[in-house]
Amino acid sequence: MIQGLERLTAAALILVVAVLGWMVLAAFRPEFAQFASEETEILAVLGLLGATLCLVSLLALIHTRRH
Amino acid sequence: MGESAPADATGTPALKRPLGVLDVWALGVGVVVAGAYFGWNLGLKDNGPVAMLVASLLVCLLYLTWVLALAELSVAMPYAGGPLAYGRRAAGPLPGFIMGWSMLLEAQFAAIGCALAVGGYVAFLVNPNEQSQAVEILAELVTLLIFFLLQAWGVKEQSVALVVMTYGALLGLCIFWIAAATNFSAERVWPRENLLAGKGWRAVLDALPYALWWLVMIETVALAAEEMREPQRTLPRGLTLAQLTLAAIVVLTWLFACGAVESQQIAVDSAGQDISYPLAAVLHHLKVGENPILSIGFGVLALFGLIASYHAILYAVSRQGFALGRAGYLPSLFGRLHAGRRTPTVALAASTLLSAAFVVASIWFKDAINVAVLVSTLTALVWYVLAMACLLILRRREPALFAAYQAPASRVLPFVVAILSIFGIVAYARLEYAPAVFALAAAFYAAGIIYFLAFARGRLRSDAPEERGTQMAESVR
Repeated sequence: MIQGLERLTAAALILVVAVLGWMVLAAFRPEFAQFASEETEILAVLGLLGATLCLVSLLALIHTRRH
Repeated sequence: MGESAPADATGTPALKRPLGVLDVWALGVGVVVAGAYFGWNLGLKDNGPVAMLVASLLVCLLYLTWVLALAELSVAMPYAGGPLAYGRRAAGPLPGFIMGWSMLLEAQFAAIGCALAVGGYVAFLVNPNEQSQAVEILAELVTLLIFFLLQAWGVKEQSVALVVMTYGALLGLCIFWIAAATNFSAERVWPRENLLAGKGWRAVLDALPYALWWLVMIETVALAAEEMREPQRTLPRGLTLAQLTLAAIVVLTWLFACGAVESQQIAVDSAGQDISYPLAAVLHHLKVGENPILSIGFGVLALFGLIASYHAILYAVSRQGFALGRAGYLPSLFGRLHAGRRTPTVALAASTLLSAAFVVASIWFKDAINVAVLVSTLTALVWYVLAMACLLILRRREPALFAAYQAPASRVLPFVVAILSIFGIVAYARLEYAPAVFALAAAFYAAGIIYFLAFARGRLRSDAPEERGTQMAESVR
Protein backbone atom coordinates (compact mmCIF):
# COMPACT_ATOMS: atom_id res chain seq x y z
CA MET A 1 0.00 0.00 0.00
CA ILE A 2 2.81 2.40 0.91
CA GLN A 3 4.57 1.62 -2.37
CA GLY A 4 1.39 2.46 -4.26
CA LEU A 5 1.04 5.71 -2.35
CA GLU A 6 4.65 6.53 -3.12
CA ARG A 7 4.15 5.96 -6.84
CA LEU A 8 1.01 8.09 -6.81
CA THR A 9 2.84 10.89 -4.97
CA ALA A 10 5.77 10.76 -7.39
CA ALA A 11 3.35 10.97 -10.33
CA ALA A 12 1.61 13.97 -8.77
CA LEU A 13 4.96 15.73 -8.21
CA ILE A 14 5.97 15.17 -11.82
CA LEU A 15 2.61 16.56 -12.91
CA VAL A 16 3.24 19.68 -10.79
CA VAL A 17 6.56 20.23 -12.57
CA ALA A 18 4.79 19.89 -15.92
CA VAL A 19 2.16 22.41 -14.77
CA LEU A 20 4.94 24.89 -13.89
CA GLY A 21 6.14 24.74 -17.48
CA TRP A 22 2.60 25.20 -18.73
CA MET A 23 2.10 28.12 -16.33
CA VAL A 24 5.14 29.97 -17.72
CA LEU A 25 3.87 29.40 -21.26
CA ALA A 26 0.37 30.54 -20.28
CA ALA A 27 1.83 33.65 -18.60
CA PHE A 28 3.66 34.88 -21.69
CA ARG A 29 1.91 33.12 -24.58
CA PRO A 30 -1.65 32.55 -23.38
CA GLU A 31 -2.89 31.96 -26.93
CA PHE A 32 -0.84 28.72 -27.08
CA ALA A 33 -1.61 27.44 -23.59
CA GLN A 34 -5.28 28.12 -22.86
CA PHE A 35 -7.27 24.89 -22.54
CA ALA A 36 -10.33 26.04 -20.62
CA SER A 37 -11.85 29.09 -18.97
CA GLU A 38 -9.59 30.93 -16.51
CA GLU A 39 -11.68 29.76 -13.57
CA THR A 40 -11.49 26.11 -14.64
CA GLU A 41 -7.73 26.34 -15.12
CA ILE A 42 -7.27 27.87 -11.68
CA LEU A 43 -9.46 25.27 -10.02
CA ALA A 44 -7.54 22.49 -11.78
CA VAL A 45 -4.17 23.89 -10.65
CA LEU A 46 -5.40 24.46 -7.08
CA GLY A 47 -6.81 20.94 -7.00
CA LEU A 48 -3.53 19.45 -8.19
CA LEU A 49 -1.44 21.48 -5.71
CA GLY A 50 -3.79 20.67 -2.83
CA ALA A 51 -3.87 16.97 -3.65
CA THR A 52 -0.08 16.81 -4.01
CA LEU A 53 0.40 18.57 -0.69
CA CYS A 54 -1.93 16.08 0.99
CA LEU A 55 -0.19 13.11 -0.62
CA VAL A 56 3.33 14.26 0.31
CA SER A 57 2.22 15.09 3.87
CA LEU A 58 0.52 11.71 4.33
CA LEU A 59 3.53 9.87 3.02
CA ALA A 60 5.91 11.92 5.16
CA LEU A 61 3.92 11.16 8.31
CA ILE A 62 3.88 7.45 7.55
CA HIS A 63 7.62 7.54 6.94
CA THR A 64 8.42 9.34 10.17
CA ARG A 65 6.18 6.98 12.13
CA ARG A 66 8.03 4.00 10.71
CA HIS A 67 11.32 5.47 11.89
CA MET B 1 35.46 32.81 26.64
CA GLY B 2 36.47 29.24 26.09
CA GLU B 3 40.06 28.64 25.17
CA SER B 4 39.37 25.22 26.63
CA ALA B 5 35.79 24.85 25.45
CA PRO B 6 34.04 21.53 26.17
CA ALA B 7 34.72 18.99 23.49
CA ASP B 8 33.40 15.74 22.07
CA ALA B 9 35.17 12.38 22.34
CA THR B 10 37.78 13.45 19.80
CA GLY B 11 38.55 16.77 21.42
CA THR B 12 36.57 18.95 18.96
CA PRO B 13 34.29 21.64 20.46
CA ALA B 14 30.77 20.18 20.49
CA LEU B 15 27.28 21.51 21.26
CA LYS B 16 24.82 20.00 23.77
CA ARG B 17 22.13 17.49 22.63
CA PRO B 18 18.95 18.48 24.49
CA LEU B 19 16.50 19.06 21.58
CA GLY B 20 13.47 16.82 21.00
CA VAL B 21 10.58 16.74 18.49
CA LEU B 22 8.72 19.59 20.20
CA ASP B 23 11.82 21.78 20.13
CA VAL B 24 12.34 21.08 16.41
CA TRP B 25 8.67 21.84 15.73
CA ALA B 26 8.95 25.10 17.71
CA LEU B 27 12.17 26.06 15.91
CA GLY B 28 10.54 25.29 12.54
CA VAL B 29 7.33 27.21 13.23
CA GLY B 30 8.99 29.96 15.25
CA VAL B 31 11.63 30.75 12.66
CA VAL B 32 9.04 31.51 9.95
CA VAL B 33 5.89 32.51 11.83
CA ALA B 34 6.78 36.18 11.23
CA GLY B 35 6.03 35.51 7.56
CA ALA B 36 2.34 35.38 8.47
CA TYR B 37 2.53 38.79 10.12
CA PHE B 38 4.18 40.83 7.37
CA GLY B 39 5.64 40.66 3.88
CA TRP B 40 3.31 38.21 2.09
CA ASN B 41 0.61 40.88 1.73
CA LEU B 42 2.70 42.77 -0.84
CA GLY B 43 2.04 39.92 -3.26
CA LEU B 44 -1.62 40.92 -3.28
CA LYS B 45 -0.78 44.28 -4.86
CA ASP B 46 -1.98 44.25 -8.49
CA ASN B 47 -2.22 40.43 -8.39
CA GLY B 48 -5.25 39.75 -6.21
CA PRO B 49 -6.06 37.00 -3.70
CA VAL B 50 -6.40 34.08 -6.13
CA ALA B 51 -2.92 34.54 -7.66
CA MET B 52 -1.58 34.83 -4.12
CA LEU B 53 -3.28 31.56 -3.16
CA VAL B 54 -1.81 29.67 -6.13
CA ALA B 55 1.65 31.12 -5.42
CA SER B 56 1.32 30.31 -1.71
CA LEU B 57 0.39 26.67 -2.39
CA LEU B 58 3.36 26.37 -4.76
CA VAL B 59 5.60 27.70 -1.99
CA CYS B 60 4.04 25.30 0.55
CA LEU B 61 4.83 22.41 -1.80
CA LEU B 62 8.38 23.69 -2.37
CA TYR B 63 9.06 23.85 1.34
CA LEU B 64 7.38 20.55 2.20
CA THR B 65 9.46 18.69 -0.38
CA TRP B 66 12.55 20.71 0.56
CA VAL B 67 12.44 19.93 4.28
CA LEU B 68 11.92 16.23 3.56
CA ALA B 69 14.89 16.10 1.17
CA LEU B 70 16.95 18.19 3.58
CA ALA B 71 16.10 15.86 6.47
CA GLU B 72 17.78 13.08 4.50
CA LEU B 73 21.03 15.09 4.30
CA SER B 74 20.78 16.32 7.88
CA VAL B 75 20.24 12.88 9.35
CA ALA B 76 23.15 11.50 7.31
CA MET B 77 25.40 14.35 8.44
CA PRO B 78 24.05 15.81 11.71
CA TYR B 79 26.54 18.65 12.04
CA ALA B 80 25.90 22.27 12.98
CA GLY B 81 27.46 23.27 9.66
CA GLY B 82 24.85 21.38 7.61
CA PRO B 83 25.33 22.86 4.11
CA LEU B 84 29.10 23.08 4.64
CA ALA B 85 29.17 19.36 5.44
CA TYR B 86 26.98 18.40 2.45
CA GLY B 87 28.95 20.45 -0.07
CA ARG B 88 32.32 19.47 1.40
CA ARG B 89 31.54 15.78 1.29
CA ALA B 90 29.87 15.78 -2.14
CA ALA B 91 32.14 18.13 -4.10
CA GLY B 92 35.07 19.44 -2.03
CA PRO B 93 36.02 22.41 0.17
CA LEU B 94 35.09 25.27 -2.20
CA PRO B 95 31.54 24.04 -2.97
CA GLY B 96 31.18 23.28 0.76
CA PHE B 97 32.21 26.81 1.61
CA ILE B 98 29.87 28.32 -1.00
CA MET B 99 26.93 26.40 0.45
CA GLY B 100 27.82 27.24 4.04
CA TRP B 101 28.40 30.86 3.08
CA SER B 102 25.03 30.96 1.25
CA MET B 103 23.21 29.79 4.34
CA LEU B 104 25.13 32.19 6.56
CA LEU B 105 24.10 35.07 4.25
CA GLU B 106 20.51 33.83 4.13
CA ALA B 107 20.24 33.66 7.91
CA GLN B 108 22.15 36.88 8.58
CA PHE B 109 20.05 38.97 6.17
CA ALA B 110 16.83 37.41 7.41
CA ALA B 111 17.88 38.29 10.98
CA ILE B 112 18.50 41.87 9.87
CA GLY B 113 15.11 42.05 8.11
CA CYS B 114 13.33 40.63 11.13
CA ALA B 115 15.06 42.99 13.57
CA LEU B 116 14.08 45.96 11.41
CA ALA B 117 10.47 44.71 11.27
CA VAL B 118 10.35 44.41 15.07
CA GLY B 119 11.38 48.06 15.40
CA GLY B 120 8.82 49.20 12.87
CA TYR B 121 6.07 47.26 14.59
CA VAL B 122 6.94 48.63 18.04
CA ALA B 123 6.87 52.17 16.65
CA PHE B 124 3.47 51.42 15.09
CA LEU B 125 2.13 50.19 18.42
CA VAL B 126 3.43 53.25 20.25
CA ASN B 127 1.84 55.62 17.73
CA PRO B 128 -0.05 54.15 14.75
CA ASN B 129 -0.52 57.55 13.13
CA GLU B 130 3.05 58.80 13.19
CA GLN B 131 5.95 56.45 13.76
CA SER B 132 9.00 57.77 15.59
CA GLN B 133 12.31 56.74 14.07
CA ALA B 134 13.98 57.09 17.49
CA VAL B 135 11.53 54.55 18.98
CA GLU B 136 12.08 52.27 16.00
CA ILE B 137 15.89 52.29 16.28
CA LEU B 138 15.82 51.97 20.06
CA ALA B 139 13.45 48.99 19.91
CA GLU B 140 15.64 47.31 17.29
CA LEU B 141 18.84 47.76 19.31
CA VAL B 142 17.21 46.60 22.55
CA THR B 143 15.87 43.51 20.74
CA LEU B 144 19.35 42.71 19.43
CA LEU B 145 20.87 43.04 22.91
CA ILE B 146 18.21 40.98 24.70
CA PHE B 147 18.42 38.08 22.27
CA PHE B 148 22.19 38.10 22.23
CA LEU B 149 22.16 37.70 26.02
CA LEU B 150 19.39 35.08 25.95
CA GLN B 151 21.13 32.90 23.38
CA ALA B 152 24.55 33.32 24.97
CA TRP B 153 22.95 32.04 28.18
CA GLY B 154 22.31 28.57 26.77
CA VAL B 155 20.54 26.45 24.18
CA LYS B 156 17.97 24.82 26.46
CA GLU B 157 16.90 28.12 27.99
CA GLN B 158 16.57 29.82 24.62
CA SER B 159 14.70 26.80 23.27
CA VAL B 160 12.14 27.06 26.09
CA ALA B 161 11.76 30.78 25.38
CA LEU B 162 11.20 30.04 21.70
CA VAL B 163 8.46 27.50 22.46
CA VAL B 164 6.67 30.08 24.65
CA MET B 165 6.96 32.83 22.02
CA THR B 166 5.82 30.49 19.25
CA TYR B 167 2.69 29.61 21.23
CA GLY B 168 2.10 33.34 21.75
CA ALA B 169 2.48 34.01 18.02
CA LEU B 170 0.06 31.18 17.19
CA LEU B 171 -2.44 32.50 19.73
CA GLY B 172 -2.19 35.90 18.03
CA LEU B 173 -3.01 34.32 14.67
CA CYS B 174 -5.99 32.43 16.17
CA ILE B 175 -7.33 35.71 17.56
CA PHE B 176 -6.86 37.32 14.15
CA TRP B 177 -8.68 34.50 12.32
CA ILE B 178 -11.67 34.69 14.69
CA ALA B 179 -11.84 38.50 14.55
CA ALA B 180 -11.48 38.59 10.75
CA ALA B 181 -14.17 35.91 10.36
CA THR B 182 -16.75 38.39 11.70
CA ASN B 183 -16.52 40.29 8.40
CA PHE B 184 -15.87 37.39 6.02
CA SER B 185 -17.10 37.54 2.43
CA ALA B 186 -16.50 34.75 -0.10
CA GLU B 187 -16.85 37.33 -2.92
CA ARG B 188 -13.66 39.05 -1.78
CA VAL B 189 -11.68 35.80 -1.65
CA TRP B 190 -12.90 34.58 -5.04
CA PRO B 191 -13.70 37.63 -7.24
CA ARG B 192 -15.27 35.61 -10.05
CA GLU B 193 -15.26 38.51 -12.54
CA ASN B 194 -11.52 39.16 -12.28
CA LEU B 195 -9.77 36.15 -10.79
CA LEU B 196 -6.19 36.93 -11.89
CA ALA B 197 -6.44 40.73 -11.78
CA GLY B 198 -6.46 40.97 -15.57
CA LYS B 199 -2.84 39.76 -15.79
CA GLY B 200 -3.50 36.10 -16.49
CA TRP B 201 -0.96 33.63 -15.05
CA ARG B 202 1.69 36.37 -14.88
CA ALA B 203 -0.07 37.43 -11.67
CA VAL B 204 1.03 34.14 -10.07
CA LEU B 205 4.66 34.70 -11.12
CA ASP B 206 4.57 38.24 -9.75
CA ALA B 207 3.09 37.10 -6.43
CA LEU B 208 5.55 34.22 -5.97
CA PRO B 209 8.56 36.17 -4.51
CA TYR B 210 6.31 37.55 -1.80
CA ALA B 211 4.72 34.15 -1.19
CA LEU B 212 8.24 32.84 -0.44
CA TRP B 213 8.24 35.14 2.59
CA TRP B 214 5.65 32.87 4.22
CA LEU B 215 8.09 30.02 4.74
CA VAL B 216 11.67 30.96 3.92
CA MET B 217 14.23 30.03 6.64
CA ILE B 218 12.58 26.84 7.91
CA GLU B 219 15.58 24.92 6.62
CA THR B 220 17.77 26.58 9.23
CA VAL B 221 16.38 24.03 11.69
CA ALA B 222 18.70 21.52 10.02
CA LEU B 223 21.53 23.35 11.77
CA ALA B 224 20.24 22.00 15.07
CA ALA B 225 20.84 18.36 14.06
CA GLU B 226 24.04 18.28 16.10
CA GLU B 227 22.03 19.25 19.18
CA MET B 228 19.22 16.67 18.82
CA ARG B 229 18.48 13.45 20.57
CA GLU B 230 18.11 10.70 17.91
CA PRO B 231 18.35 13.06 14.90
CA GLN B 232 17.25 10.27 12.50
CA ARG B 233 13.78 10.37 14.10
CA THR B 234 13.58 13.80 15.70
CA LEU B 235 14.56 15.86 12.67
CA PRO B 236 12.24 14.51 9.93
CA ARG B 237 9.32 14.19 12.34
CA GLY B 238 9.75 17.66 13.81
CA LEU B 239 10.25 19.28 10.39
CA THR B 240 7.25 17.51 8.86
CA LEU B 241 4.96 18.52 11.73
CA ALA B 242 6.26 22.10 11.55
CA GLN B 243 5.66 22.23 7.80
CA LEU B 244 2.10 20.92 8.15
CA THR B 245 1.38 23.50 10.85
CA LEU B 246 2.77 26.24 8.64
CA ALA B 247 0.77 25.16 5.58
CA ALA B 248 -2.40 25.42 7.69
CA ILE B 249 -1.31 28.86 8.97
CA VAL B 250 -0.66 30.08 5.41
CA VAL B 251 -4.08 29.03 4.10
CA LEU B 252 -6.05 30.25 7.13
CA THR B 253 -4.27 33.61 7.31
CA TRP B 254 -4.73 34.19 3.58
CA LEU B 255 -8.38 33.10 3.74
CA PHE B 256 -9.47 35.26 6.67
CA ALA B 257 -7.37 38.32 5.77
CA CYS B 258 -8.57 38.39 2.15
CA GLY B 259 -12.11 37.54 3.18
CA ALA B 260 -12.35 40.34 5.72
CA VAL B 261 -11.36 43.34 3.54
CA GLU B 262 -10.52 44.04 -0.10
CA SER B 263 -7.10 42.59 -0.92
CA GLN B 264 -5.69 45.95 -2.08
CA GLN B 265 -6.47 47.38 1.37
CA ILE B 266 -4.13 44.76 2.86
CA ALA B 267 -1.32 45.59 0.43
CA VAL B 268 -1.31 49.40 0.28
CA ASP B 269 -2.70 52.19 2.42
CA SER B 270 -4.85 55.10 1.25
CA ALA B 271 -1.70 57.07 0.33
CA GLY B 272 -0.50 54.23 -1.88
CA GLN B 273 2.28 53.18 0.52
CA ASP B 274 3.08 49.50 1.12
CA ILE B 275 1.61 48.21 4.38
CA SER B 276 4.09 46.62 6.79
CA TYR B 277 1.44 45.54 9.32
CA PRO B 278 -1.19 43.74 7.22
CA LEU B 279 -2.99 41.85 9.97
CA ALA B 280 -3.17 44.92 12.20
CA ALA B 281 -4.40 46.87 9.16
CA VAL B 282 -7.17 44.32 8.58
CA LEU B 283 -8.29 44.54 12.22
CA HIS B 284 -8.17 48.34 11.96
CA HIS B 285 -10.82 48.16 9.18
CA LEU B 286 -13.16 45.93 11.22
CA LYS B 287 -15.74 46.91 13.77
CA VAL B 288 -14.34 44.44 16.33
CA GLY B 289 -10.94 46.05 15.81
CA GLU B 290 -12.23 49.21 17.52
CA ASN B 291 -11.95 47.38 20.84
CA PRO B 292 -8.63 48.61 22.34
CA ILE B 293 -8.08 45.40 24.30
CA LEU B 294 -8.29 43.39 21.10
CA SER B 295 -6.11 45.69 19.02
CA ILE B 296 -3.38 46.19 21.64
CA GLY B 297 -3.49 42.55 22.75
CA PHE B 298 -3.19 41.40 19.15
CA GLY B 299 -0.34 43.88 18.55
CA VAL B 300 1.63 42.47 21.48
CA LEU B 301 1.10 38.88 20.28
CA ALA B 302 2.10 39.89 16.75
CA LEU B 303 5.31 41.21 18.22
CA PHE B 304 5.79 37.75 19.75
CA GLY B 305 5.71 36.34 16.21
CA LEU B 306 8.34 38.74 14.95
CA ILE B 307 10.72 38.23 17.85
CA ALA B 308 10.17 34.46 17.82
CA SER B 309 11.40 34.49 14.23
CA TYR B 310 14.32 36.76 15.03
CA HIS B 311 15.22 34.51 17.95
CA ALA B 312 15.21 31.35 15.82
CA ILE B 313 17.07 33.01 12.94
CA LEU B 314 19.78 34.28 15.29
CA TYR B 315 20.10 30.71 16.54
CA ALA B 316 20.67 29.57 12.95
CA VAL B 317 23.14 32.26 11.94
CA SER B 318 25.27 31.76 15.06
CA ARG B 319 25.41 27.98 14.51
CA GLN B 320 26.45 28.42 10.89
CA GLY B 321 29.12 30.96 11.85
CA PHE B 322 30.31 28.59 14.58
CA ALA B 323 30.55 25.66 12.15
CA LEU B 324 32.44 27.65 9.52
CA GLY B 325 34.84 28.95 12.18
CA ARG B 326 35.31 25.51 13.76
CA ALA B 327 36.24 24.01 10.39
CA GLY B 328 38.65 26.84 9.51
CA TYR B 329 36.57 28.41 6.71
CA LEU B 330 36.18 31.57 8.81
CA PRO B 331 38.59 32.88 11.49
CA SER B 332 38.91 30.28 14.28
CA LEU B 333 37.53 32.79 16.79
CA PHE B 334 34.04 32.00 15.41
CA GLY B 335 34.46 28.33 16.30
CA ARG B 336 34.92 28.91 20.02
CA LEU B 337 32.31 27.98 22.63
CA HIS B 338 31.74 29.54 26.03
CA ALA B 339 33.53 27.33 28.55
CA GLY B 340 30.57 26.98 30.90
CA ARG B 341 27.46 27.50 28.74
CA ARG B 342 28.78 25.75 25.59
CA THR B 343 27.22 28.38 23.35
CA PRO B 344 28.94 30.02 20.33
CA THR B 345 29.21 33.47 21.89
CA VAL B 346 31.70 34.92 19.39
CA ALA B 347 29.54 33.95 16.41
CA LEU B 348 26.49 35.35 18.23
CA ALA B 349 28.28 38.61 19.00
CA ALA B 350 29.49 39.01 15.40
CA SER B 351 25.99 38.46 13.99
CA THR B 352 24.46 40.86 16.52
CA LEU B 353 27.03 43.56 15.76
CA LEU B 354 26.45 43.23 12.01
CA SER B 355 22.68 43.50 12.53
CA ALA B 356 23.23 46.55 14.73
CA ALA B 357 25.32 48.16 11.97
CA PHE B 358 22.44 47.63 9.49
CA VAL B 359 19.95 49.01 12.02
CA VAL B 360 21.99 52.20 12.27
CA ALA B 361 22.43 52.30 8.47
CA SER B 362 18.64 52.02 8.02
CA ILE B 363 18.38 55.60 9.29
CA TRP B 364 19.70 56.69 5.87
CA PHE B 365 18.72 53.69 3.70
CA LYS B 366 14.95 53.35 3.83
CA ASP B 367 14.85 50.27 1.59
CA ALA B 368 17.17 48.32 3.92
CA ILE B 369 14.45 45.92 5.05
CA ASN B 370 13.31 45.06 1.50
CA VAL B 371 16.85 44.49 0.29
CA ALA B 372 17.78 42.44 3.38
CA VAL B 373 14.85 40.06 2.96
CA LEU B 374 15.34 39.70 -0.80
CA VAL B 375 19.07 38.93 -0.45
CA SER B 376 18.17 36.37 2.20
CA THR B 377 15.68 34.66 -0.08
CA LEU B 378 17.90 34.69 -3.14
CA THR B 379 20.86 33.11 -1.30
CA ALA B 380 18.44 30.55 0.14
CA LEU B 381 17.22 29.44 -3.28
CA VAL B 382 20.83 29.18 -4.49
CA TRP B 383 21.76 26.68 -1.81
CA TYR B 384 18.51 24.70 -2.16
CA VAL B 385 19.56 23.91 -5.74
CA LEU B 386 23.15 23.10 -4.70
CA ALA B 387 21.97 20.93 -1.80
CA MET B 388 19.84 18.83 -4.14
CA ALA B 389 22.86 18.32 -6.42
CA CYS B 390 24.83 17.17 -3.35
CA LEU B 391 22.06 14.77 -2.36
CA LEU B 392 22.05 13.16 -5.81
CA ILE B 393 25.87 12.87 -5.87
CA LEU B 394 26.10 11.38 -2.38
CA ARG B 395 23.23 8.94 -2.92
CA ARG B 396 25.06 7.54 -5.91
CA ARG B 397 28.53 7.55 -4.32
CA GLU B 398 27.75 6.62 -0.70
CA PRO B 399 24.35 4.90 -0.50
CA ALA B 400 25.10 3.57 3.00
CA LEU B 401 25.17 7.15 4.26
CA PHE B 402 21.38 7.31 3.92
CA ALA B 403 20.59 3.99 5.61
CA ALA B 404 19.09 5.60 8.73
CA TYR B 405 16.55 7.75 6.88
CA GLN B 406 15.42 8.21 3.29
CA ALA B 407 12.78 10.73 2.26
CA PRO B 408 9.48 9.57 0.76
CA ALA B 409 9.22 9.59 -3.07
CA SER B 410 12.98 9.90 -2.90
CA ARG B 411 13.67 9.45 -6.61
CA VAL B 412 11.75 12.52 -7.75
CA LEU B 413 11.96 14.71 -4.64
CA PRO B 414 15.38 16.34 -5.27
CA PHE B 415 14.45 17.17 -8.87
CA VAL B 416 11.14 18.71 -7.82
CA VAL B 417 12.88 20.86 -5.16
CA ALA B 418 15.54 22.03 -7.64
CA ILE B 419 13.00 22.88 -10.37
CA LEU B 420 10.69 24.71 -7.96
CA SER B 421 13.69 26.68 -6.60
CA ILE B 422 14.87 27.67 -10.08
CA PHE B 423 11.28 28.70 -10.85
CA GLY B 424 11.44 30.93 -7.74
CA ILE B 425 14.72 32.53 -8.82
CA VAL B 426 13.25 33.27 -12.25
CA ALA B 427 10.23 34.90 -10.61
CA TYR B 428 12.56 37.05 -8.47
CA ALA B 429 14.20 38.42 -11.59
CA ARG B 430 10.91 40.23 -12.38
CA LEU B 431 11.02 42.26 -9.15
CA GLU B 432 11.66 46.00 -9.04
CA TYR B 433 14.59 45.52 -6.64
CA ALA B 434 16.17 42.68 -8.63
CA PRO B 435 19.27 44.54 -9.95
CA ALA B 436 20.28 45.83 -6.51
CA VAL B 437 19.63 42.48 -4.86
CA PHE B 438 21.54 40.45 -7.45
CA ALA B 439 24.47 42.93 -7.30
CA LEU B 440 24.63 42.86 -3.49
CA ALA B 441 24.45 39.07 -3.36
CA ALA B 442 27.19 38.79 -6.02
CA ALA B 443 29.41 41.17 -4.01
CA PHE B 444 29.02 39.05 -0.86
CA TYR B 445 29.75 35.84 -2.77
CA ALA B 446 32.84 37.41 -4.35
CA ALA B 447 34.10 38.61 -0.93
CA GLY B 448 33.57 35.17 0.60
CA ILE B 449 35.26 33.28 -2.20
CA ILE B 450 38.25 35.65 -2.20
CA TYR B 451 38.64 35.15 1.58
CA PHE B 452 38.44 31.38 1.13
CA LEU B 453 41.03 31.28 -1.66
CA ALA B 454 43.41 33.79 -0.08
CA PHE B 455 43.29 32.83 3.62
CA ALA B 456 41.15 29.84 4.55
CA ARG B 457 42.01 27.21 1.94
CA GLY B 458 45.34 26.32 3.52
CA ARG B 459 44.08 26.43 7.12
CA LEU B 460 41.12 24.05 7.11
CA ARG B 461 40.95 22.01 10.31
CA SER B 462 41.03 18.27 9.81
CA ASP B 463 39.50 17.64 13.26
CA ALA B 464 36.20 19.45 12.55
CA PRO B 465 33.22 17.02 12.35
CA GLU B 466 32.45 18.04 8.76
CA GLU B 467 36.07 17.29 7.75
CA ARG B 468 36.38 14.07 9.75
CA GLY B 469 33.29 12.59 8.08
CA THR B 470 34.64 13.43 4.63
CA GLN B 471 38.09 12.05 5.41
CA MET B 472 36.63 8.77 6.69
CA ALA B 473 34.54 8.43 3.53
CA GLU B 474 37.55 9.20 1.33
CA SER B 475 39.75 6.67 3.15
CA VAL B 476 37.09 3.97 2.56
CA ARG B 477 36.96 4.85 -1.15
